[in-house]
Amino acid sequence: MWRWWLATRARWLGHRGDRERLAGRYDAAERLLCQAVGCAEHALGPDDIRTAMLLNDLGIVHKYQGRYRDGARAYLCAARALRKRAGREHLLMATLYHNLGGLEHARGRYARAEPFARRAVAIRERALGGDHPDVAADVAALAGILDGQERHAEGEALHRHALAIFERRFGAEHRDIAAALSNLAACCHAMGRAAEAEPLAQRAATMKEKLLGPTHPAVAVSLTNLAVIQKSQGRVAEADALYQRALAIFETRLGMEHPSTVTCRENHQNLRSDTGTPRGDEAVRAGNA
Amino acid sequence: MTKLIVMMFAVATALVGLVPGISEAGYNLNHNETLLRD
Repeated sequence: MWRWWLATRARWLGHRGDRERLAGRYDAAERLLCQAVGCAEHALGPDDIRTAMLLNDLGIVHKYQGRYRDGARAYLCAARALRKRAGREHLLMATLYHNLGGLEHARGRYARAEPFARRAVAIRERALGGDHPDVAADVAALAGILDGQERHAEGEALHRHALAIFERRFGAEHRDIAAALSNLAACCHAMGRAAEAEPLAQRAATMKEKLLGPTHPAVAVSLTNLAVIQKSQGRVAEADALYQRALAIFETRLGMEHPSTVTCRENHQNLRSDTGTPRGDEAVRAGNA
Repeated sequence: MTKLIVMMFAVATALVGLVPGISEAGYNLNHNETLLRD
């Protein structure tokens, strides 16, 4: 009876943790998912598939928090359990490969990420067919990894393929569509097609704001990318305003030392130094002098 | 009293069990979003 209660509590906490993660409240998500994993390990055992999937969700949260080592640890515990219980070709293993690739992508280790992403695509495509949105999500993740290796033409083709499936299956607006648009915009920008990239990035930012709320960290990613694109077109004032907004979101939601906060801050400082505008901290010092 | 506690426990557990999972496709997959550096 007690174990049954603990297993139910793990499910409840896991559900709440996933809700917090999707809302971009990663610290709250981490607390809930850690509790859920503790309950599940106690009630179901460390090798149970449900425990493994809670560890997978915790790994995603750690990735978004910028805690990559903790994320890797959670994924590897989950992978060990899944291999034992479900086998290497199970769909849940594809999920773990997808996320392990994502972790390496976030660390900038794109060559390491690619084999994970390709295994995820292969397993899921065999099981679900090429038109399933989960397969498209794997393809979109692989596209981001190819982009990171500066294989932009390959990346663009895969981004467009995934986007077409998402739009066919989800309609006009969905968080996967917004992420794919954002990445496609970044890819076009990297290939020197800023005019094409801008409306895509704008659409991604607007869609994310509507679906996720104006202060979700994913919105700040698109605002940052839009700022980079606008700066490349010489629209410095607009870019500056976007950086300020993105930076405020990153600092508040992810903290001052998070890798995304650091990148956005450096981009903003580069813009200010390129245009001779004093940086925020310099302006404050000048005001106090 | 014991019966009441057991009943409340059972009802609470059943309610928690009914909590819908997040059934949306891909919810347990992360996004590899590109953050451009300038």
